[in-house]
Amino acid sequence: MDRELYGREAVLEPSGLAARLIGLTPHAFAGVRYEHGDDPPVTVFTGGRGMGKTALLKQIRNAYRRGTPLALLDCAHVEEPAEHGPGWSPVTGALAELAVQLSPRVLSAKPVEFPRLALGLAAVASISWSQEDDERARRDLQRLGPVLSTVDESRGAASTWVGKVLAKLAATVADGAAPLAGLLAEATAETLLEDVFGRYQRRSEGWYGDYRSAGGNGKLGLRQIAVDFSQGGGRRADAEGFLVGALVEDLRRAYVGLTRLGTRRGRPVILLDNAHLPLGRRLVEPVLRDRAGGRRDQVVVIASSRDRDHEGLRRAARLRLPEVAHRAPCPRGTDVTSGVLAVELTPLSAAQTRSLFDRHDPAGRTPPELPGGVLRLTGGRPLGVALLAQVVGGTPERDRGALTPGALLDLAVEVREDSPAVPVAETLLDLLLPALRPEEAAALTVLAAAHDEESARALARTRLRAASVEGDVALRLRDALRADGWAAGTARPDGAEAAGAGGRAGAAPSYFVTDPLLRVLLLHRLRFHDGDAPAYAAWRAVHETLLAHYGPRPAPYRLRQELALGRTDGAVTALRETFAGPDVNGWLDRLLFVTSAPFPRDPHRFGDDPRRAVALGRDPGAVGELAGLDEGTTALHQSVRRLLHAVWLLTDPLALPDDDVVARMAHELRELSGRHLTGSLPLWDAATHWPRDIRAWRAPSSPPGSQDGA
Amino acid sequence: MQNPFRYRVFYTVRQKIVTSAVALALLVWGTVTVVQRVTTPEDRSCAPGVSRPAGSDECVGVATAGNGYAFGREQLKQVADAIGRENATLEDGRYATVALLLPLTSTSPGLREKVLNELQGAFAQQYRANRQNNEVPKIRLLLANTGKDNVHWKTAVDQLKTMTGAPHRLRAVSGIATSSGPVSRAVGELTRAGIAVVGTTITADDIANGPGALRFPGLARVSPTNGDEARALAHFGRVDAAKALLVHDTRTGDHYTDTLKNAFSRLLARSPHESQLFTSDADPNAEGTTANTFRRITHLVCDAGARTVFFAGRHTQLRQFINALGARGCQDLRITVLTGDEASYLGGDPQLDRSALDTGLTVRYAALAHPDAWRARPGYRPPETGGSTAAYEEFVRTLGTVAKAPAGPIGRTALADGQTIIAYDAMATAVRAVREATPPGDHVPPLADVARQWPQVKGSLKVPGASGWICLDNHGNPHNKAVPVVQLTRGAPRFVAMAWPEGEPPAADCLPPRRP
Repeated sequence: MDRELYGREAVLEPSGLAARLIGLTPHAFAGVRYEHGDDPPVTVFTGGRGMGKTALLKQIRNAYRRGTPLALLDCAHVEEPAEHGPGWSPVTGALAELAVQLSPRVLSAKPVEFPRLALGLAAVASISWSQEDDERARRDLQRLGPVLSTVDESRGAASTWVGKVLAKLAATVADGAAPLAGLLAEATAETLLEDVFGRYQRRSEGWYGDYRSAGGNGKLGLRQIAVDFSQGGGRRADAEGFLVGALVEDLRRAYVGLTRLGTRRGRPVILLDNAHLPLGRRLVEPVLRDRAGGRRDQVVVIASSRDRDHEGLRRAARLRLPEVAHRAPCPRGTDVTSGVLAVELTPLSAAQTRSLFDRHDPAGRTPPELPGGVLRLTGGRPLGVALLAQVVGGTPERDRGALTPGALLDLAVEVREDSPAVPVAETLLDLLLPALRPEEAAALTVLAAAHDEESARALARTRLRAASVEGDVALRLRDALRADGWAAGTARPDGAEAAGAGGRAGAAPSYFVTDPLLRVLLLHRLRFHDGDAPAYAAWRAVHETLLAHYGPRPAPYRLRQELALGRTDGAVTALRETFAGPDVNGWLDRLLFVTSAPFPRDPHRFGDDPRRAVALGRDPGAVGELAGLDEGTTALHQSVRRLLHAVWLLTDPLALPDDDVVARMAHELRELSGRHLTGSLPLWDAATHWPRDIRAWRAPSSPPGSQDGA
Repeated sequence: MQNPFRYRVFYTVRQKIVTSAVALALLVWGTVTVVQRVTTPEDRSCAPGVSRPAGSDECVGVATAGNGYAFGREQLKQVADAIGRENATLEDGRYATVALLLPLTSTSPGLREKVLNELQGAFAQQYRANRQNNEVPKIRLLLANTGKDNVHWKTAVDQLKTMTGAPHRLRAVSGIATSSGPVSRAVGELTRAGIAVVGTTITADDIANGPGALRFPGLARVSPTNGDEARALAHFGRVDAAKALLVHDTRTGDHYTDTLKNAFSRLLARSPHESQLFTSDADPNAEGTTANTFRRITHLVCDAGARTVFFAGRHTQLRQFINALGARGCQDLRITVLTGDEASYLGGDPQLDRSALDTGLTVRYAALAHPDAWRARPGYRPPETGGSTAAYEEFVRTLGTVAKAPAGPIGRTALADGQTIIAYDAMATAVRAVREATPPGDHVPPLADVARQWPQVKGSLKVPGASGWICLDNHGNPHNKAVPVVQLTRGAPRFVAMAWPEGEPPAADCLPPRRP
C-alpha cells in the first residue's frame, strides 16, 4: 500500500513542503514549524497525465492518516446518488464526503464534529421534498446520516429523527402557503437541533446568522440558504460557498475553545485530486475568497491540477517541485488567486529512474543503458517509468540482459496481484488516456502517424470516413487531447513543404500527437493491435496513405514514410544524391528528420536489431541495384546507407544505443567529411558531438554542437 | 508511530502540560517522602516509655502506661494484662507506684520462668494489698525492663528516677532479682535518688548494707545474704571440715559467687583440702569449657574422699558439676553437695543428668523459700516462730484468687522454686513501708519517708511473710530469716529441714540483737 515515491522528497521529507504546511512530519507526527504563519496557501500540484499527482496526494494521505484530520476527494469521481432531487449538488455531495473523512478520531484527539455543515446540508436537502413524496425525503435524510453521525454518533445513526422530520414535514405542508423551501429547511433544522444536537452544539445554528439577509438570526439564515440553493445559478453558488465556509468553520472550532485548546497538533488536511474540474474550483474558491478577506482558517488544502494554465492559477506563486524543498514563498497579493501556491511536478531524473530500476532489478541484470533508454522514451513521466520498471521486475532473469524499451512494451505486466498480466503498452496507454472512448482511441491510433493537422485530416478522410460523420474527427480528437492536457495538432511550420527538397525542415519534426511517449504507444498499438504479423495491414495502410499524401517527390516527409514502411533505398539514394550540395547542415537535418521514422519492428524480438548489422557494414543490402554507378558513388552510397541505419537505430526511443554503432557512426561522419568538397566542418562537428548527444540521451544536435553548451 | 504510548501521554500541548504536572507532582511527593524518611529518626519505641536502644532489638524501659504491655513476651502476657487491669481500677491521685525492675526479656529458660513467677507473686501481693481494709495508698504496679543480662539497666533506672512525681508517684522499686554488677549499680543509682528499693532474690553480701558501710541507703532485702545462707547451711549440716571441700568459681565480679565463696571459706577455714577452682565464662549462662574442668575436679574429689562439697558457683556450672559427679569413679562414696539458692534453677533444667542423683549423690541447697516450709504435715511441724503457717496459707489463698478470673488469669504458677513467694513477700515489705510512711489523711507518702521505714520493720511491725518473718535490721537486711534447706530430686525439690543463720529460730519479738 505504501509505495515509495521517487523524486517527490521535496514534498514528503520530514522538512518538506507537506510537513511545513501541516506542521507535522509524515508518519512520526513530530512538530514542524509552519512556514507560512497563520496563512497557509492552497497548494496546487500541476502536471500532465501520469506525472504522479494522484500518487503524491495518496502518499500524503497515507503519511498523515491517523495523525491529523484528513480527507482525500477526487473531484472527477463524486458519486451521484440515485434519483437525487434538486437538493443535491456535487458540492454538497463532496462536502458530506469530506466531512465524513475528516471526522474520525486521530492521535489523542476527539473526533471532529460538523454541526454547522450538517445543519446546512439538511436545510438545502429539504428543498426537494413534498408531502406526496416522503420516500424521497426519507432517502435524502438517510443520506445525511453519516454527517449527522459526526455530531452525535448514536443519535445521528439511530435515524429516529427521520420519522420526526417526516412528521413535521407533513404538518408544515398542511397549513402553509408561504415559500415552501425556506419553511421546510427551518422545520428540518429545528428537529435536528432538538433530536440530534447536544446542548452546546445547538449554538452552531448561530453561524447561519451571518448569511445574506439573515440579520444575525440563524433560523432565517438557514431558511434563506435553502431558498437560494433552490434558485440555482449565482445564488446557489453563494449558498454552496457558505456551506464550504461551514465545513471550514467546523474544522476551525475543533482547534479552538477552552475544552479543545491544546488537544491537537498540526492542521487538518483536505486533499483534492483533479481540482482543475469545476467542482474543485467551487470547493476551493470560497476558501480562497475568505482567506483573501482576512479570515484565518488553518485548513491545509492540497490540490492537484492537470491544467497548468488554469485561470484559477493566474496570480498564483509558481514554483517547480525541487524549489519547494526548503522554502516555498507565497506572498499574498491583492488578488484572490495569490493565495495559491502552484507547484509544477517535474519529471524523474536519470538517477531517480536508475534507483527505481535498481529496486525492481537488484541484481542489475538488465543492460546498463536501459534506465536511460526508458527515461528517453517516457520523458521521465513517473507513471511510465514506474510501470516499465515493474515490467523489468516481472521479466525472468535470463531474459533481462536483452531488454530494450521496445521489448518492454511488448511484454505483459501484473499490475494487480489478483488479476492476470496485461499487455504493457495497452495498459500504459489506458492509464495515459483514461477519458477516451474506444472508438476515439482507435481513431487516435490511426492519427498518431500523422505529422500535423493537415496530414491528420488527410488520414481521417481516407481511413476514418466512418468516424467523420460527426464532424472532422482529427479536430475533434485534437480538442479532446488538449482538454486532457496533451499538446496536439501543432500546425506545420510555414514553408516546410517548400523546404522539403532543399531547405531546412528542422531537426525536430512536428507531429499531430506531440507527446513522444503517447505517440510511441499509439504507433505500437497501430502496428500490433491487430495481431496480423507479418502483414501489419493497418500500419501499412496508414503509412501508405501518408506516403500518397506527400506525393511522388522524394521530400523528407515521403522518405520518412518509406522508412516507416521498411523501405530505405529511396532515402539512401536521395541523401546520396543531395550529399554534394552546399547546405551540409540542411543535409544533416534531413538525415535526422528521415531517421525519426518509426521502425517497423517485429514483436517479441530480443537481441540484435537488424539495423545494427547494416550500420556496422555486415549487411551490404541489394548490391545489384547499384550496378550503374561508379566506384566512388557506390562507396558513398554504402557509407550513407550505414550512416542512415546507425542514426535511425541510435535515435530510436525504443532501442538502446550501442557503443559499436556510435563509434561506427562517428567514423562514417568523419569519412563523409573527407569526401565533401566544401562542407567538411559540419560533418566533422557532427562526428564529434552526436556521439556525445546520444550518450547523454539527447537528440543529435542540429547544427552539431549547438545544444551541448559549446 | 514508533512509540504509540507517546501519543497518548506526551504529544499534544495539553497532554504535555498534564503529564508534566503529574510527573512534577510525583517527583515533589517522592522527594519530600524520601527527605522526610531520611531526616526523621527511626521510630524505635515499643510502647509508652519503652523503646529499643541503639543496636538492640529489645524493648527496654519502663512501661509507664501500666496497661498490660508485656515487652513482647508471650508468657508474660497474661500476668501483665492482669496487672494492667488492676492498675486501671485505681483512682488517679490515690495510689503510689511500685516498679518491678527485672530483666524481663531474658532468653534463658530458667530466668524466664523466674521472671514470670516474680510477676505473679508481686501481682498477688498488689491484689491483696489493694483489697486490704481500704488502706491507702493503693498500689500501682509498673514493669521496668533492664534487658537481657541487665545490659540496659541505666535506661530503665534513669526513667524510674523521673517518675517520682505525678502522675506516677513512684515510691518503691522491687524486683531486683539477680546478684550482678549491673544490678548493684542500678540499686546504687536508685537509692542515691532516694527511692526505696526492696530486693527479692538478691543474696550477694555486697548488694547490701552492713555495719559501717551504708552503700545503698534505702535498700531492704527479703532474702538472707549469702553469708547467712552459708551459716545456716553450716548449722544445718554440722559439717566436719576435715571431710569437706570447697569448689568455687574464680571469675570475679559476680557478687553471688564471690560472697558465697567467702562465706564457705570462713566455714572451711580448717579444712585440710585445697579449694578446687574453675573459671566460668564471662556470660554465666554459657556452657563454656568448664565441663572438662569439672570432670578433673571429680577425680580430685574422689581422691580426697570428701563427704561434703561446698559449691560456690552459678547454676550452669553447678549442673555441669553434678553431671560430672554422677559419672564419678568412686560411686561407693556418698557425697553431699551444699550450695546456695542458685541450685533452685536446676529444678527445671532439661540438661541436668537426673540419674546422677541416684548414685549416692545428694544435692542440698539453701533455698529462699519453699512451699513445704510453712505447711504442717504428718512428720513435720513448722517452727513456732520465724514464720507462720497462717501467713503462708493466706498467700496460697491469694494466689488462688488471682489465678482465676476476674483478677486472672496470670499464667501457669509454680511454687517449687520459691520465687513467687519471695516476690510476694518483697512486695508486702514495700507496701508496708509505703503505707507506714503515709501521713494520716494524706494519700501518698513523701518520697524520702518510704526509705526511712526499713529500720522500723521489726518486732511487732515485722512483715509476716509467706517465706517467714521479715525483721529488718538497721541495715535493711533480714535478721535470722528462715532458710529452708532443699534437696534436689528427680521431681520437684524436696524440703529437707528449716535452717537458721543464727542456729535457732528468732524469738517471738523478732528484734535483732545489738551489734557492735
